[in-house]
Amino acid sequence: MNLDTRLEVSSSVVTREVGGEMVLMDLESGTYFGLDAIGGRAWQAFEDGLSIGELCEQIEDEFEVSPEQFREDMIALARNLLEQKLVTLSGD
Amino acid sequence: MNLHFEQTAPCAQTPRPLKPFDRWLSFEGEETSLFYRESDQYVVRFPDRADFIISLDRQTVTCTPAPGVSDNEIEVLYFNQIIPLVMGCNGELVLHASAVVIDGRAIAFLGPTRRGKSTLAAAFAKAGHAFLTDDGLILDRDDEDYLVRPRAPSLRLCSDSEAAILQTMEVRPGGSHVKGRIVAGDEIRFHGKPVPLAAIYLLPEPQQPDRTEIVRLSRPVALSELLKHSFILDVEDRKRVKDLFYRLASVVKRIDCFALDYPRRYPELPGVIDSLIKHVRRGDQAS
Repeated sequence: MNLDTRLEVSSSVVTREVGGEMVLMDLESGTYFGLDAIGGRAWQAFEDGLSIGELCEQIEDEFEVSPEQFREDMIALARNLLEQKLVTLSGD
Repeated sequence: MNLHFEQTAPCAQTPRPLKPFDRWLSFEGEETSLFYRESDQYVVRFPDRADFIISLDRQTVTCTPAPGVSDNEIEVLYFNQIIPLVMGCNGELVLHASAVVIDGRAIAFLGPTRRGKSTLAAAFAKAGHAFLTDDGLILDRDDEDYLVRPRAPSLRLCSDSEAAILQTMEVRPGGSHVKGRIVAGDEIRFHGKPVPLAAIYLLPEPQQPDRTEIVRLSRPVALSELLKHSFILDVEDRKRVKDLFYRLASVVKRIDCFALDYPRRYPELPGVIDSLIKHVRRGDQAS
């Protein structure tokens, strides 16, 4: 996984923004997940087909972390989403 | 809803041809309900009690009781379990919750069986705050509000709750966990008109605090709790589960949800009621 990676959001996941968080429900497993404001923005970017690098360029200025740290965080988030089967690697 | 109900002669339960796609368990881990999908209908089995065959297309329910099960028990299962499940399929929002009226607005108590929903509803009603339902709470959207629809002018209480709240001395056979029906009247009042919902109180596993504890739930947590405590017949029906998810997300955007824990001792109930009334009257400032 790197900055060029694109993710495809699983068709079994439904989302809603409530209380400043993005709530995800996987209809396949019936489990729920919550993403904070940054995670929610990232999810929308993945839905829009952006790569991790493009996502970082788009929103890293909005948050008070170093660009390096932000990229690491986004790659970690993408790995987590992949492990939870909420996304797949685009092109798989 | 125009649901046609039929009851056949009693028949011993035999294994169904397919495995259940879902099952509900009691706190002790025993199967209380099993859900089967058979051709174009569903079968809900309550082990050693009854099978209910549900056809959503025809809107019919056929019940086959197990031998020795009373008509009253069948009626309770049909009214408290099967009708809410079918209503959920028909697009209604139906929650495992009771509700009472305070100052013209409803508060709901959400939780699984034996968490205190009916006891709280009865205690509030006895204290002059009429109940709307003791389970199977139906929510209707009405512009900016969600209305709680009144359900039935009776509630079901364990005999120890009944004795403590109504000061009756009668103990029913079968122990404290057997519920009896209490019909509303002057002492336990029923509210027969829809009322806007003000707040939902989740009843988590009791931690036996010394006093009433009320903690606001974040909206995402509230959403997951409402999903867990909704009547849904087919958890694998993605379209219906997705629709439910979106509708409950709208509910938690408008309705505040709290976790409520309190001392589980009957003499403490008046204090619990006081605390909750104060909490409701503080309104949006409540935490």
